[in-house]
Amino acid sequence: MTLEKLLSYDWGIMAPEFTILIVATLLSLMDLFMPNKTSRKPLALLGIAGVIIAIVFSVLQIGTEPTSILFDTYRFDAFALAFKLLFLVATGLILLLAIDYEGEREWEFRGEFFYLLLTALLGAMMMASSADLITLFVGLELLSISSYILAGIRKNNLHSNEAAFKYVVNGGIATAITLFGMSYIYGLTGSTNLYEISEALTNPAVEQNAFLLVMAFVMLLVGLAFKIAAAPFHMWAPDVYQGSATPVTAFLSVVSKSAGFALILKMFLITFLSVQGWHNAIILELQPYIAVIAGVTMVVGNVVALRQRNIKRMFAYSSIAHAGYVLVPFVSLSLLVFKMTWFYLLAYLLMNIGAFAVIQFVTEKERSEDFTAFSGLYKRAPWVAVMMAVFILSLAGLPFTAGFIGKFGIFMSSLGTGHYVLASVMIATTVISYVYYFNILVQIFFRKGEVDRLLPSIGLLIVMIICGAGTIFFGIYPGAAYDFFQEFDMNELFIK
Amino acid sequence: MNGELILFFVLALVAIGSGILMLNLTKVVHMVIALVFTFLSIAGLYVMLSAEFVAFVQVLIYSGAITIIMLFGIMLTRHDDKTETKIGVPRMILVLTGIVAFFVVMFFQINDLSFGEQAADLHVDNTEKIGIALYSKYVIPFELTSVLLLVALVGAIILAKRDDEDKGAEDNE
Amino acid sequence: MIEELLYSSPSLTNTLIFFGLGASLLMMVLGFVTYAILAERKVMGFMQLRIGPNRVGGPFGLLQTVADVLKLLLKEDTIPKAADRPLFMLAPVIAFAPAFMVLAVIPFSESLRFSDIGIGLLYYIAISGISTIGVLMGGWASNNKYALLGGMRSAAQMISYEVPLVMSVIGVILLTGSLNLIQIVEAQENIAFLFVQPLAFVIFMIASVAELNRTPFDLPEAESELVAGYHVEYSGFRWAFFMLTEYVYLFAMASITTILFLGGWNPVPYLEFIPGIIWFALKFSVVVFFLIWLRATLPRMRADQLMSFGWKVLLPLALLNIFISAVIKEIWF
Repeated sequence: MTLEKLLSYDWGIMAPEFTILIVATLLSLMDLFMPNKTSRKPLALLGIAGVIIAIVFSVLQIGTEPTSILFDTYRFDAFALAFKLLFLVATGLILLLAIDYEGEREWEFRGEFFYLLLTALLGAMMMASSADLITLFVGLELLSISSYILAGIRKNNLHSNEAAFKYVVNGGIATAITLFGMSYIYGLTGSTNLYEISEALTNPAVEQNAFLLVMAFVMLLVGLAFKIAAAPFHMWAPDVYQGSATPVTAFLSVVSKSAGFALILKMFLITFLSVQGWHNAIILELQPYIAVIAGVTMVVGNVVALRQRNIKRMFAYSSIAHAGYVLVPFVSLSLLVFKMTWFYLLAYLLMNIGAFAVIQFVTEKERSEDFTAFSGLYKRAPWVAVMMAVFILSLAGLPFTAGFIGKFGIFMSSLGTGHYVLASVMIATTVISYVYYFNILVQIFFRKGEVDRLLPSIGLLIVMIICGAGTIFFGIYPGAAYDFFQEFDMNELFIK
Repeated sequence: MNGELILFFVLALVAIGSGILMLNLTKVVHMVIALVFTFLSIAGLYVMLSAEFVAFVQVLIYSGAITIIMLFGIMLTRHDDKTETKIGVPRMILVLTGIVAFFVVMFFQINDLSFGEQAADLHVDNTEKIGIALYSKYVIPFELTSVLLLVALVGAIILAKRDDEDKGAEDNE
Repeated sequence: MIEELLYSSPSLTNTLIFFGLGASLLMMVLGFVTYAILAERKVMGFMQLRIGPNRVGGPFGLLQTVADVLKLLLKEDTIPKAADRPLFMLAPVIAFAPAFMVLAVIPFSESLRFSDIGIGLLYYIAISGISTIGVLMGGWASNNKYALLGGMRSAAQMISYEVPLVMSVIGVILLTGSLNLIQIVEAQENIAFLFVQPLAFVIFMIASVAELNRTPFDLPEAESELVAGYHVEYSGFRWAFFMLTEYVYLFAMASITTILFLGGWNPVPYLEFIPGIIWFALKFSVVVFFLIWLRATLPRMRADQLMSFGWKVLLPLALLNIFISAVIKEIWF
């Protein structure tokens, strides 16, 4: 391959990734040369600026034809763009959260946090916009390793140490399993390109080995189920979420999870959709198993959350439960799978980051992560209390919130494809979830606590307002998001 | 039975045997040494598969660098630590059944595997081909890997470096 | 003849022939080691205005080393009570085996070579790294603080200096376009890489002295602070193995320096009538002499100086060299 050929690719299409990469590098250099005791908050502002530029680039790309660079090791299509927008928006909001995070005294001087967040974002973006196993894997690892460090960045906090260690060990095992699965797929097809794999898999010589293929599928699923914290691979989540700094927890529960879903959808739908198993397409034959994972995840997440007193642990289980919900469209596999997943992830992004903004606000003021820290919040900061109510109602899936629309869509699509059991599990667990969600609301509105007034800082306020407004707006007028999503032609994903 | 087969069995046995030793030995240093033998015999298997570049990179990175760093870390910390197995018998049996079942299933499947023609010219200029593929076709993941390594490096420094303030505090203790 | 043998199909006879060749190479190396030790003592003696060994085997002490080895063989083999027995016994073997293995890829002349593999240089670097494990193991298994310190120093030093060592040869690899040592020598037919890559040569020499654990980088066995470093608890034949490892590496490192930078068996212009093997031996001897000379003249470095020199001076220089080589390659080749 000559240099001319290399330069003939449309590298401009990678503008969002390049922006993030450049800003991350710039931040690391600035962090290096800044005096030791200078506050690193300006770095966060620069990071936010970078994310906004990347969002602008991405928005400008809407409607662009699918573009492939270097044999799909980078691939731009509507699917990638839709998910990248989610990651970018979420990371921008989380950076805003991080500016005002004051967990530990040394936090002010930790510039690494901001650029590690950006490299993690870069990993997530590559996971969405590549169709080559190697790039996907490197992206996954970039996200994971950045997350491990982020989880342990509060060095003097024992919970944080525990979180980082558990995350590294569990994550390492999950990575190994994923890679093992990938190696089987590569061995059977002789290619790392997802489209070539999907072609090679229809070859009769490969179909004889359908069983090995199923094993590869299962191993991939197990490895990636870890990433989205689906049961029974969710054990790490509560400890890690509890130990990490609140912005990191928000990042793990939103961006990391969404990236996992993007990868699952992409990898399984491109490669396995057309492959024959014994009687049917492999993906249909394996549906019951994925359905079991989804069901168990919903049950475990919601039931165990009932017993939690630590607010971050409670939200960890809540986010496990939500992973279960998002798996439902993947199980039912209707034509709307992308739309449903994407919308739910959008709603989840808004309500979860909003909720974590309030959690950060309250836990910092109260110096306690027990959920009684919320008692009397309505008297102390009425507007924050109302915001939290909105987020919680949305997480619980009550009408006039984005969470309701998302859940309703998922529910209908599972009914539409005849997955009645799964749909009923979903309803039942949603009802269970009301208990712990409303428990928080009871604390906020009906329990007496301190009486002093609390004021959120500007960064938190902006996040709360954006998330709150978004949650209500998409709850009342979901058509806006759906119309926006129409811009993305998901069929592009399947065009080689 | 030809020389190749004998060599394969020797290497495979050493790899598996050292792997088992690594899990079952009690002293940490012995485990790492067992690990070295696993790495070396796997490198030997790579050579048999005409992948000598990968083989010697494996020796260089895994046996030469990673295990030495591991040994180093062990010796700098509390190196007389012994692992104590606290796993109950029922659980052990359960895990063992799982592993054996997985092995049996995979073994028979891989045994039945047929790909038709085997590649015969894998050894021709393979290092050069790896280089060309790495720097042209796979340049994006390659560059991304450099970001990944940078992140790992920064992370290691963040987590391991002692802050100056803490140093003062520890001296006072 | 060897050429044919290398490309023939494997059989039992070939295996035996290779075994015989390997054994003869081992003998050759042992002969070298015997006289390298003597040469080192003699040269150092003259540099320090002494005579050096002169009693055993004639006026030059020709049999001095032989007598030393005999003494070592007869010595009591002690294993400390608190030592980690299996590792203590395994360590000298693990240290020595790679030292001999690396010789397999070194081409001595157009016809005298034992292999022709595409990744010869990588093989050398990779395999020689294993010896460090042996040294570290020996230091740890002795259960002696001096030995452990020596072993740790050795490992830290080897890891740190392996990086600039590898980086410095990248220039050579770039210019040759191959990792095959034979092709690297052939690429120097007109001009030795010493003149094209002077910076790389300097870095390589410094790093190789450190890899060899020789003065001024002999911290692992700094006798004034660590008694004898990692092999302080070893005696008799096991100790001899560690010593042997060191001198075999001296042999290997001098050979590889000759091959990479001095043009291997390529003759100096107008002197082509002298056979390649003699040229190789000459250049090789110069390198060995240089290493002995260094040992006799330079004082030992401090541990922290050693580390910061490796990482802060050699590594950036090596990176710079790669950059320069790439530019040179673009312009001239």
